[in-house]
Amino acid sequence: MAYRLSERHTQNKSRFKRMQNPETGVDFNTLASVCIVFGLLSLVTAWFFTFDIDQGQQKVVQPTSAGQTFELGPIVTKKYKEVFKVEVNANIPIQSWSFIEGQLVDAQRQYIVGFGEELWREAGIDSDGRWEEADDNYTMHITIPKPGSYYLQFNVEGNQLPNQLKFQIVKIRGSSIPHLWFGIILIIAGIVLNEIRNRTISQMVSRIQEHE
Amino acid sequence: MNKTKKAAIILSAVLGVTYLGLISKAASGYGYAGHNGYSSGPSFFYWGGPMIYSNRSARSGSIGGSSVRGGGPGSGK
Repeated sequence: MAYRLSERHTQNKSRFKRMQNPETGVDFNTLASVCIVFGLLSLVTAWFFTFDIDQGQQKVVQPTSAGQTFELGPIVTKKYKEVFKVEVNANIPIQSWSFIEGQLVDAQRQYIVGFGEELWREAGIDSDGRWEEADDNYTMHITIPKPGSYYLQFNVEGNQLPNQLKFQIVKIRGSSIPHLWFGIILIIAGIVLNEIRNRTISQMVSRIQEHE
Repeated sequence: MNKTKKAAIILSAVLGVTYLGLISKAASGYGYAGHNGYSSGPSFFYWGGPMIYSNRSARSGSIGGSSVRGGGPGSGK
């Protein structure tokens, strides 16, 4: 349908009025866009903070006895609250489990914090054929509060020793948690504001139900 | 200035200040074990990862520990 210029102007104006909240006179679409833009920016920032900022240190070992301790370090921190990512990978034999415990200790080998997880590998045969499942690695993040020299000590227990263990520690830019949660909250807020104004999801659900 | 523009500017300012404020928190490792001192555990907002033992006596295997270690494969088909 064609409109004269003056009519188009009137039509645009009336459409704009329809998009506004009749009670507040505020266009929720605009606010939803602001929330989503900041939400996406926050998620990108959270991702940015996960980047490595040094080569880190790693050690690959073949355990020969239960309770054997492996040490990684020294981890030297020059600033307060430096953030590290610790990765543990284990080559675990089938039908076995290992509890791999790590400890962060200071230069005098005094305990600071410990962590650990049970890793395992299972395999079998069922009606679908052969299957194999495993949980053979874990990652943790740690903030070291004060400058100094630190070490990571690992030991392993289990019903069978892993064939190989790989430990790695690398310094990262920071914590992704603050911006990750901020981003998630803002994107939810943006979706809710958009839903209040446009009912996009409700209409989509209605259309799906009509087709069914 | 219409109400929408004003609301968008105020919202952008509030979110921008919060976003910038969170940068210092992120740079200081907020949420991870140790962010609030050597014995502090991870925050409520940190999920996944291994169990953390902020206190040595809380570890299984030690006297008075939680004995959560071991027990074989925790999952599988």
